[in-house]
Amino acid sequence: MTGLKTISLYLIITVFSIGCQRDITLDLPQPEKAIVVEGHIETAQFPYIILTQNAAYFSPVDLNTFSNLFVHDAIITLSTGSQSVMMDEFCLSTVPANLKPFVYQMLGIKNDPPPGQDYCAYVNFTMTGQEGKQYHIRIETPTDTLTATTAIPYHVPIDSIWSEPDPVYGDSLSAVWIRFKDPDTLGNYYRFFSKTNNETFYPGYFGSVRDDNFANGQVLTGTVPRGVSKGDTINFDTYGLYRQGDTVIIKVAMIDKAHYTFWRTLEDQKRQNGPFSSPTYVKGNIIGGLGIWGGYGSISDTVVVQ
Amino acid sequence: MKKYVLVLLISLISQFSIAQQFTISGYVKDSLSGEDLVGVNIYDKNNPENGTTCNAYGYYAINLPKGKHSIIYQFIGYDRKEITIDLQSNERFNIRLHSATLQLDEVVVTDTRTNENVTNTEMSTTNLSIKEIKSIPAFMGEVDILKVIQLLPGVQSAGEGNTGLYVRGGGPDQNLILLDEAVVYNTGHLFGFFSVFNSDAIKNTKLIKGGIPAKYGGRLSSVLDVQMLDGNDRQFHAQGGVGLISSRLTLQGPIVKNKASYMLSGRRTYADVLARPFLKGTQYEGNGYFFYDLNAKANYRFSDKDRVYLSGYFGKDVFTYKSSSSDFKINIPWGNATATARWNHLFSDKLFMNTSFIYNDYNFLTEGEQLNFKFTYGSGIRDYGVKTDFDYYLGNNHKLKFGASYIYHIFTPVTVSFSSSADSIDMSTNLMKKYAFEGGAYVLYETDISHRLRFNAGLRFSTFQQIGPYDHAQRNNEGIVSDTLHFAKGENVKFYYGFEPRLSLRLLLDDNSSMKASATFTKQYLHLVSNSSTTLPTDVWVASSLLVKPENAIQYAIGYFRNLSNNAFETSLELYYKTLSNQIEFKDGYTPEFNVETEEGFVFGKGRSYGAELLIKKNKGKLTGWIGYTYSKTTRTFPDINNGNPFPATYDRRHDLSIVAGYQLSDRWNFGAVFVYGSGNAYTMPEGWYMIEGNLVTQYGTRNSYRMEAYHRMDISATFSGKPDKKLHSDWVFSIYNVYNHLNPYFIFFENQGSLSAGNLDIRAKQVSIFPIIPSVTWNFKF
Repeated sequence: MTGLKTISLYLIITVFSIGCQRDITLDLPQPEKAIVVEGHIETAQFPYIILTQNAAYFSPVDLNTFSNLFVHDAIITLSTGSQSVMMDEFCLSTVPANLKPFVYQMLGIKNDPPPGQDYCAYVNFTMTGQEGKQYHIRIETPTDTLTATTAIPYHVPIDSIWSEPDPVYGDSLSAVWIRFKDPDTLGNYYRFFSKTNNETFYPGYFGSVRDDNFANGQVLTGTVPRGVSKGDTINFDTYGLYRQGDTVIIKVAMIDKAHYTFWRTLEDQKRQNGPFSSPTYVKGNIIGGLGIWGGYGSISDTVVVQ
Repeated sequence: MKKYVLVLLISLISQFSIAQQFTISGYVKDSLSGEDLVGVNIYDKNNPENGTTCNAYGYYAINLPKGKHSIIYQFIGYDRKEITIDLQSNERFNIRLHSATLQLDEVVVTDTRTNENVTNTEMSTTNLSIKEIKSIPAFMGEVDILKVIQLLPGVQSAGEGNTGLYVRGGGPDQNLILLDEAVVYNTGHLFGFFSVFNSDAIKNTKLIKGGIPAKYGGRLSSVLDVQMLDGNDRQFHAQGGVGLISSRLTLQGPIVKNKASYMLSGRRTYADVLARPFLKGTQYEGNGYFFYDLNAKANYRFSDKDRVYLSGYFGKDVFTYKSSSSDFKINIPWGNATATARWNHLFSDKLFMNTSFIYNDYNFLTEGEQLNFKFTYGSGIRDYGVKTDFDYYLGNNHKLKFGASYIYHIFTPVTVSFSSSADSIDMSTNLMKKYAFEGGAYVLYETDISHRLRFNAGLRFSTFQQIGPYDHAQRNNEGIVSDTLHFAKGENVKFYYGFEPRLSLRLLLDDNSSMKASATFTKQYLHLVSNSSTTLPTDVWVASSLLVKPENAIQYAIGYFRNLSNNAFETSLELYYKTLSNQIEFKDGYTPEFNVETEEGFVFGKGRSYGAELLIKKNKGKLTGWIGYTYSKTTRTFPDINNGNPFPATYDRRHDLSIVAGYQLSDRWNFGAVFVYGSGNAYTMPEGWYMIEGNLVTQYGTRNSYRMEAYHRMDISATFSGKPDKKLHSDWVFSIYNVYNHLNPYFIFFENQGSLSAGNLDIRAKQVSIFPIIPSVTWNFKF
């Protein structure tokens, strides 16, 4: 339906291609300061949380802005059942070299930040995610207390994975397909990632999640778009396609409904911008803050793109 | 309260007929075209308080004591007619009124407007003749009744160039829009820029914003009753026009002279046809958009007692897109069809009946195709209805109306299907159609309590029942379907009913001024909720159900009406206060999901609107027109939105001003001008952003807390008419929309450039205006 609205917009513009646009200055109110959580716990992986804060919409952005977003010295408790651990803050500038790739992966970046900036995350290296369990976090800063709960659902096996040349760019580019069976019970939610060669796992630019409302209990077949690193410019003509010869790992993660809703609303927001779209409020699961604390029940498989 | 009304009714009815009385009745028509005239005033010259008006079929009945009388028939735009009679028995007078002739060298005074607006109980009501509508500058030369309605106080447009109506704080779905008694579910073409009403096929338009008579039901905020032309029953006529956007042709004439007539009217846009030769061979070949309308009507008079009308409307928008670089093809047709069959019958001179059989259908479909992959997306609503209305003329200004209606609705929810021949995949949503009955019965009574005080009381009883087959998904706390309730075919799923009392009072202060007051309770069982700032053809009508309760509204209005300078000026000041309950919005963060009923995305709350409306209208002279000003405030309060705090409704507008003027320079030249000013639309704006996975996530502020710039615009037009004595009468209409080229805000969007991690992120706000100055020319003909 969002797509239809886009078509509607296209229609309006083509029929009345007489409209005009101009820059305007808006005097917008300042948002309330809020802490933003981006935290995950995944099957057999260490839990991590990136803690940042929000910024005013038109606030000036320079090289320091990004690193200034990070919230330091928070006290984070992660508990599951009767077990409870603390999460420690690690910053790229102080992380041992052998741990850097892991931090890169968490942050979804490729290189160290420019000089003068630092990126940080909270990690616990004693606990790994287990499917079927609930995980609760409590985050305390001098000003805020945030809590959230997520689950790691059981993963579903991947039936098969293969590549097919693109109908238009088939000389060099292919799509990667996946097939798996949705469990019989309704209410399964998925998020897809891809890892190309030495890159880390990235979700697609949009459409990274899906539910089973439409095809409960059926065998699902679909493409998994190539993930993109943040900051990369996207060529929408060839978006989602892989270079032939690439080694690609596809990861399918089962997520719970609140986690799914977060990504779905976030991706809906990315897609829309026009007269017909009312603003999409991104719906997180953090009590007392913004963002997501989400569990992934994941499994991966590898394909060499043909 | 109900008890008192009843006692009052009985005591009043018992006062009837002291002297011997006879009835004069009949039909009033246009002398040339034979069209029934609706709303003609008929009264006894020596006792003007004893009067009546023609009903929607041009029928009237008036009871007078035995003896000599002079009866006056008068109607705006027509010469007044007087007949003298020595009444000794019931009499039938079918009257033909002559269209007022324009006198060249004098001020136009033939317009015999009375003080009917002061003396009747109707308030918050406007009748617009098609002649008035056509004299107002039209956007791109397309005369549009809905856009003229928007110039009245208390009515707002849904956005620049949009035909959607917001009446006294009500949503665009809260207007009962009737075309020859059939409900029109979607009134817009091209996403609302043009209305489905082809002005050449329309006879009358009546808007009721408050004090809605009990006869009408099913919508909370207003009634827009549009009647098509019946067709000339004396001679053949053709009329049409060629404009920038579309061409029109209307044919009408007798089938059997003075007994039966027909009217056929068509309109089609032709941007696609004109563009076709230029697109040939280019990448745009195969793309196109057009809409068309067809109105058809026929009627047959079997006798003075029986008459049958058949009328239909059929309109469609079609958009096709074919990508030249890939195999992608898409075809989107949507449209309305309505059909009405009506039977007028006179049981006696005093008892008039109309029974209507009504069918209507609204459908939206999208079909797309790429390689061997196909998808369809569609939704719709279809109704079969019957209704019957009785007008009982009891005499001495006692009028009784009663009737009932019953509609069978079939709702097609959003259905989506995909198929791919390559993978032999075939998937579709499994949402079920919904079936419902909507019923209504009413009684309405009007009389004079004293010389000064007249009241009009009505009571409507309405019902709505959803019946099976239906599967209702029950969800657990996580929102996952845990169980399904099955309802067999015909089984009751949910039954709602309610009483809707209506009361209007008029207190005559003197011959030229009155006070009026009304209280209106309304219920609404069908809902259209839009996720956007305007209504779209993709928006789906949703019925009341297990999850969705009927909407309710109570409106109180009070007004002062005064005519000046021998009725040349009509002025009125009305205040209203309206509360609404069970109002519907989408949840924050709602986006449509496949296989989930639209209604599961709803949240429910309350609404409130109040305002003051001032109207000054000049009906006589070379210069005519009106000034309408509205001050209003409309809020919504939803527990699940904005933390339960009130927020401005999307269509909350503090100030709204319309100035409409027409000037008849000579019998050849006629000028028109419109100026509108409206406070800025309520808008939700981003206040901040935050970062997730390197994406900028926008943090929106309180719903509708921001105001866009004020909207203002002026349009002008000039009409040059051909010599009136020629057989082929033609005129040229030159108009300019937005004459001082004000760039009105249509929407605001944001553009991000650079990236956060590179430290060069740049967010800019851009305001889009869609209609700059637009000149247009239209040629109209008639013979």
